Amino acid sequence: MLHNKPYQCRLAMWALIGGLFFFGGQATAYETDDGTMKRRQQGILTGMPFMANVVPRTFVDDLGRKLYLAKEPNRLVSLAPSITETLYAIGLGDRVVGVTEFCDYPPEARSKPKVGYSRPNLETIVALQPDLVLAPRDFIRPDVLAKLEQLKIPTFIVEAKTVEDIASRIQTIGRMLGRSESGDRVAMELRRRFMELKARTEGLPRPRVLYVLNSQPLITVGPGSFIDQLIEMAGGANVASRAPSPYPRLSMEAVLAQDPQVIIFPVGTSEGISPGEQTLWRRWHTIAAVKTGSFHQIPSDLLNRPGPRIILGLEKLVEIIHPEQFAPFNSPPDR
Amino acid sequence: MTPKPPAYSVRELGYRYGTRHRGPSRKGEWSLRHVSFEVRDGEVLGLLGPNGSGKTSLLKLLGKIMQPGTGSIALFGSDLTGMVQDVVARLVAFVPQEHQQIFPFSIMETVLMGRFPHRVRGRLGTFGGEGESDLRMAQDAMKDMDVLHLADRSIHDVSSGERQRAIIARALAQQPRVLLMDEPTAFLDLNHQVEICRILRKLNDERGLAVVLVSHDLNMASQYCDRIMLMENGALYRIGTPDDVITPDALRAVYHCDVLVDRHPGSGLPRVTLPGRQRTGIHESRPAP
Amino acid sequence: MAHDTTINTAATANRTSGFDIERSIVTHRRWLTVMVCLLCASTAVVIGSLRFGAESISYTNVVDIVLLWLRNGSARMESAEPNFMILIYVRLPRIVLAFMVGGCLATVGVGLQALLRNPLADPYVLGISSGAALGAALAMLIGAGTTIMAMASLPLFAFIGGLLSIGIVYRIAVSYGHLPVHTLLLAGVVLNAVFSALIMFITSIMDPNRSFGMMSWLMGTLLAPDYPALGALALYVGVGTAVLASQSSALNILTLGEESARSLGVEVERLKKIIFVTAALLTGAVVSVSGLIGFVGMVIPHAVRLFVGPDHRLLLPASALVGGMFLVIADALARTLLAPSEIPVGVVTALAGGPIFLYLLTRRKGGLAS
Repeated sequence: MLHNKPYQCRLAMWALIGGLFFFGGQATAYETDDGTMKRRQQGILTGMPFMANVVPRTFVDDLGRKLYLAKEPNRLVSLAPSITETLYAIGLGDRVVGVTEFCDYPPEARSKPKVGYSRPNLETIVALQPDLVLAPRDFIRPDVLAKLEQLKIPTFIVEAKTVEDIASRIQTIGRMLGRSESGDRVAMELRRRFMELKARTEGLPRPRVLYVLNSQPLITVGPGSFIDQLIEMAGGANVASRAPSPYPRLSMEAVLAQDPQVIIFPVGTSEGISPGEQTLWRRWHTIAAVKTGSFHQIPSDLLNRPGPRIILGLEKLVEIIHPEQFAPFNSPPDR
Repeated sequence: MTPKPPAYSVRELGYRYGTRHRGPSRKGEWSLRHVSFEVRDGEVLGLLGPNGSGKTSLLKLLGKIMQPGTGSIALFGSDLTGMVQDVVARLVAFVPQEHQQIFPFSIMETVLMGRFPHRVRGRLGTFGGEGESDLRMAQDAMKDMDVLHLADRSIHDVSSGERQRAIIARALAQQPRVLLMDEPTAFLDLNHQVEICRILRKLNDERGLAVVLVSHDLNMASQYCDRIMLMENGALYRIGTPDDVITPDALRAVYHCDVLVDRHPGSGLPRVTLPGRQRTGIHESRPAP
Repeated sequence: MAHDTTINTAATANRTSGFDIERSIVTHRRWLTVMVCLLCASTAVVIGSLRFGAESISYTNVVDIVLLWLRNGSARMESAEPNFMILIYVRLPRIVLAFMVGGCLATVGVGLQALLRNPLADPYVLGISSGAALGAALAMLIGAGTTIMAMASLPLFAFIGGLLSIGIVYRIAVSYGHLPVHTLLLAGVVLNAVFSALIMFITSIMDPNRSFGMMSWLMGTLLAPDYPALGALALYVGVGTAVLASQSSALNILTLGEESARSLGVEVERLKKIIFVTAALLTGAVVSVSGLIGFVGMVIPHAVRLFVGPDHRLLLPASALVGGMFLVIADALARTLLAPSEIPVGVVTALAGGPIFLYLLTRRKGGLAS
């Protein structure tokens, strides 16, 4: 689950760059797609009745691995910012003993011991004596997982590709850790607000949206990326929807021809769109978004992390894409 | 009549390979020590000595290819160190022992490089082409060295002797007053060895070209050099006419071996013969330990 | 080149028998013939490539738009169709940029090959580009918050990085006198490895969003620059190339080795400094606008030398033009192969140049290893 989108590309890019530099050998993200398996497990995890042979203390993760928990885990290590946010959202923050270097929300999470990210430090993890490690499927390296298994550290792999996935994983984690009630509550709230958004954007014209991951060279999100889905859910039309890859380098020519009406810049926690970058974009003054000044920033964490805050990101996107229809969402859920 | 300044006047010259110029010796070993001599204008001076005696270093110092460590060199009365490189190159040409060229320049292009120091530096720097006179001089030099028919051949596609002649032609195209040669005949066939020596003498006679040549060939030096300088271990051992220098005792002192010296039947100059096998019994020789 | 054979040998003065001057040296006439042909070819390539891009624009449309632009200037472009913006503000500046970058890389390659007396020298292979990239990455790291500042310092840092690595490469090259080709290449590989490790270190401590952009930029990217930026680059490139070209006769002589070059009146130390600084300047300028684009600097001079000979007075400008054409074509491929998405142009040149490099390396083995 939870990944920082740029990271995926970055690892692949390291491999490429390394190759260009004669010495290759950077590990790339290990990904396998096993859709049928996943669907079945979703059934399990959302507690469908035909899987009744699974005893209550046994859980099946998104790699199909069975995990038997004799007692409620008390020392948790989270290997993704989205998992950390989920744990805090269901009130388990004090059980977290280790997080990644990117876990910065809620702020308390920053003071937890760091174990690394795509290459977590196994020694640190072992030293923290966790009784459960929660890891994202996209970024857990097979060798790290094998090692954790070998060390008999219970590890649960999570993957979420849709809003419904996110909600159901929150419930699963809640049940696993004895917080079913708050897990269900957070998940239901997520579903409710999502349905509300869908109802509101239904049938509206879809403005053309350009999501700028990087300006020079222009890199955006294409089909197969999480953010591309979010843009569609928020009632926008991604201008890179015809691109051949999830994170394409988009030709500026294509941008001019597609004429985006909204340009969105994901930003880190503090920085805004820098003046230089804005100047860069203002050159293209035939673009509708430039004419209307429709440049928007969105905190990248809200869209990159498939956790409970994803709904905030979606609401923000809707606000940006359909400002004329909607008053700002001014009721952020307290957590 | 005021005496003409000598081509070279060398005083207390010392040189050692330092950090800036890398070579076979390490820093601290002096490859030349306290060398003082003169090269008279218009003479042919042979530099002789065993390997490592400092001949090539000395030659490179004379060509301002390396900078002296101590002492001074005057070229036609002016201090060599203070002269600009292309001024030196208009007076002095250098023929290296080996020619290393990686790119396939033609023989003509190689010889024309000798005209570089004479070229007028225009607004285009050294971008411009050679003039008519440059071409003519290059052709004359090539004719002298019998390589004109190879003009369009790549320097890689000719024999090492032809290449050596082309390099000498390049040096001649510089129209120098002094010619420095490092073993000019090393790669040549006998006929071309003789030819080159003949041409050197001719240039020397006709244009008053001074020649300093490093050689291992004692006989060639004896026959064609006006004077000979014998080097030993970085120092000057003896300088003088072939009669003075090519003597059994001097050669023994420098080369540590006995050779036979007699007179050349044609010129009457000293002739060196390697020790023969003992069959003839003319002279007993035994290499020194 | 074809015109070699068309030269009228009877008309050229064979004042002395037995050789053909046109075949022996680069005459003015041959220089002009080659350069005029290459200029025509360059113009044709640039105009031809205007047709290719993510958006297809027909030649008639291209002609209309260019005429419109020439007649009305840029003031009226708002009223024009999107194709006007695409052609005049995206495609054309990018093609011009590709031409300059390619020309620059080839020129630097020629200079380095003469300096190191090694026909396989290339700013990318020897690690000079990655040195410049390291400098640029450092500038990006330092100027992380302020893009404007980072942009201004980028070429400077890239220049310093390039100078540093040329210094190291040269140091390695001279410390053994005449250095075997393979040793020099190995040194380049090691330099590349070290610099790329440092670049990766920098990206690992950067904001992930930013480092992601930097890595994609490093892969060799031709952006659509605005015209003032293009003008500034043209100034760098023009000065650098002109300085190097002005030394072409001296470069010829430098290929004889430093000692012979000194004896022929070349101020070797000064010349080396000139080559160092211009090569670092050009590499720095190129890397800061286009990231790492490999093999152009090696393959192009090599190919051009086969046709026009080794004389730098012709080799240098001819390589610049051919390098420009090469990169314009490579970039046209990069733009169109996966449209609307783009391939980094560095990938295209590496895929094209890498095999040629290997071929030359194995073929030349016997001749150059000693």
